[in-house]
Amino acid sequence: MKKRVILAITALVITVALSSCTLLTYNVFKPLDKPSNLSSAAESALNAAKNGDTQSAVDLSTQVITTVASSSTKAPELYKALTTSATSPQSQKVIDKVASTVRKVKDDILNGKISKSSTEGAAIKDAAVAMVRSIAKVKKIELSDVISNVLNVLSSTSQSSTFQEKSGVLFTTTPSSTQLSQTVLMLLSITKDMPTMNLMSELTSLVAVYGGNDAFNWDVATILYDALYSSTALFDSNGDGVLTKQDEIFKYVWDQNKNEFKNPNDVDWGGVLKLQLSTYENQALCEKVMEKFSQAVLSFEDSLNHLPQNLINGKEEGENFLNYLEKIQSELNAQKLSSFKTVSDLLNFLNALFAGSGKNE
Amino acid sequence: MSKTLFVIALISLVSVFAFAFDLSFYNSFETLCMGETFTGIANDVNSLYYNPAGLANGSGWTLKLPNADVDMSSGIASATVKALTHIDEIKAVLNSNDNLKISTYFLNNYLKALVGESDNAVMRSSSCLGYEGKNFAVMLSAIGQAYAHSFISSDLVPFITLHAKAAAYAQLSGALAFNISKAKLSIGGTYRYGYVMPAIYSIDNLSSLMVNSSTFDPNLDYEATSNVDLGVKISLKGFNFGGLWHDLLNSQTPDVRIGVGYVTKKFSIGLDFEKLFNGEYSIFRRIHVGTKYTPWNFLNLYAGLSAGWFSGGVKLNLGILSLYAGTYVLNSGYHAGWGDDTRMYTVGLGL
Repeated sequence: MKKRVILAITALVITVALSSCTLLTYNVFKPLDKPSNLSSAAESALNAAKNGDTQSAVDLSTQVITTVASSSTKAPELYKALTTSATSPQSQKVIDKVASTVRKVKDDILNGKISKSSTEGAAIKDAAVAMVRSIAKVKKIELSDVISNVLNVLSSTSQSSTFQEKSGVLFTTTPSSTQLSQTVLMLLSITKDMPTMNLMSELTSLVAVYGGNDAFNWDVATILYDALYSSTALFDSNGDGVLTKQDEIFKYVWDQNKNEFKNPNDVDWGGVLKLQLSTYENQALCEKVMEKFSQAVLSFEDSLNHLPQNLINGKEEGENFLNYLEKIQSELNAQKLSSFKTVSDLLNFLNALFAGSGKNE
Repeated sequence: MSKTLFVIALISLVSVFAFAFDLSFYNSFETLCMGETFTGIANDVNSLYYNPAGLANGSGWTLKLPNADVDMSSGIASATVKALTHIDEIKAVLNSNDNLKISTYFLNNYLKALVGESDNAVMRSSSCLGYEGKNFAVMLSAIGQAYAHSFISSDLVPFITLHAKAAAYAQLSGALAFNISKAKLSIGGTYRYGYVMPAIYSIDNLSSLMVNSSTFDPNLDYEATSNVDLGVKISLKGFNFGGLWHDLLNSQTPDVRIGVGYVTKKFSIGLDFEKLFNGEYSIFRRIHVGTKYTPWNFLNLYAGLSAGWFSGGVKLNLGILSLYAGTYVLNSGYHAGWGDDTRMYTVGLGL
């Protein structure tokens, strides 16, 4: 009997051990059974993204988009580029190349060269969605981190009025100072690099072109990725294309001891105001930021047209915000942006622009 | 937004307990852990589902009381275990009536485990009563299955997919066997009648921004359904060949699977080939290999390969009670390893 019990326990232990080993994530036939045609490759990319196989998803979706764009069978090694250092020029080059391919495909759809309902069109959408989800996973761009930070900020701001007083100096002209300060911390809450955010914004705006029930989501995502690109561009003080804790803004907003964002009440807003913008006297970067800003405005306009029924009450508020954005767009250009030396200069410009029309909550 | 997040988190957890899928093809713990391989082997009560011709196996009177099997993917399993061990904490958070606190709690503790990968939950049970003679068999059986699939995308604004189905069937199966020289030819069939709730939930890519109070109202409409399976088996010494035509009354493309097997008293091994006439599936996607080893009566070990995925399990027979645990993969798609495949972990209790 004792022997049997020992055997039974051994068998159970082996089962548990098996359940944690890589054998369980390996498919014997997968390398031999790779989908070849466009539709099944795109569908498989989407499935791979769903079940967490990011490498397969990125490889297949890159293959699909490259094939449609240029009939080339040699796709760039995007996965390798994503998983090597974000500051590597070679990686940035590969990511930029894929982003320009995505933009070309989007232009082909908008020009009618590729029909959205064709086999190619359907495959592109699946591939783009698969790529967005996989890149987000590889680069750890996690919604939960962003939202968690916003919720934390909400918790702390609702408890204290002194934050209002401190941030009031910084955000005097915006629709809502609380909203904007939350947004700044949200944008800084994840490590980002400009090539990846550019690719993500190209991908999401490509998917939004397809319209339909899910267009609103992709419009919103495009705006967020454009914003992430711009915040990276503005605060990338060491010019390596990546926003990390080494960049100067984190001196003021990051608590080194706790390894987390400071409570908004403790942020050195004075330091933030004096911070030199990375766009200062950098015309090329400013042009790219303005391009992203314009795309964000367009996506915002689209998102209001795609507004779901249950959010329709917020349309007026959305239109007001769009008016703010359009006013900034009409008064700001790359040359002017490059002339702003500090955050304070940028805010003074906004102050002057909205003098008398903004509300300070 | 906080309400939305709360609903997303809560529903993902609730889906574990409440939903199920329609499956007229019953996969028992044993067959799942054997890589869904049994059409050729077909030597015990699992023949009811994989090849009714195998019921004429000489086992005599058979009574199987309902088992209770629960299968979960890792995300749901870990969230469930965590939730069950933190019930008091969850109650306290919910009782606070502070939406912000509730959202933050669920986001930080549960959502991360569920976002970005497909999750599945299955509950199943079966029972049967009948006689398995050497040359004929008759069996009454009942099966119930419930399935849920959820996916919360990792997009900055996530999409929600949620499907849930359930079914219960009563079955009448019979088999006849003929000895031809040293070989044995068996034919069998099953008539199945039951009720299906095909779309308790049927949500595809719903923006989390569009969730409202009625989004997760279940649809409990049901419909009656019936169908027939036919099976054939040829045995020569320990070697077997089997075939099954499943749902022959209304399948557009015949759902046929064939298999070969070798069976001894303690050991069986087989190879099945499913979707014989459905060219959309690749060859590798259709292959199933499985084995069962019984070193002692109280212990069964199972292992298999289903469309390239490993499976395995252990069953302990303790008197009238049996306890089992194992793992397998829920396959989808037309190519091996390229579908929305999810590894499942299963535990069960049988009598």
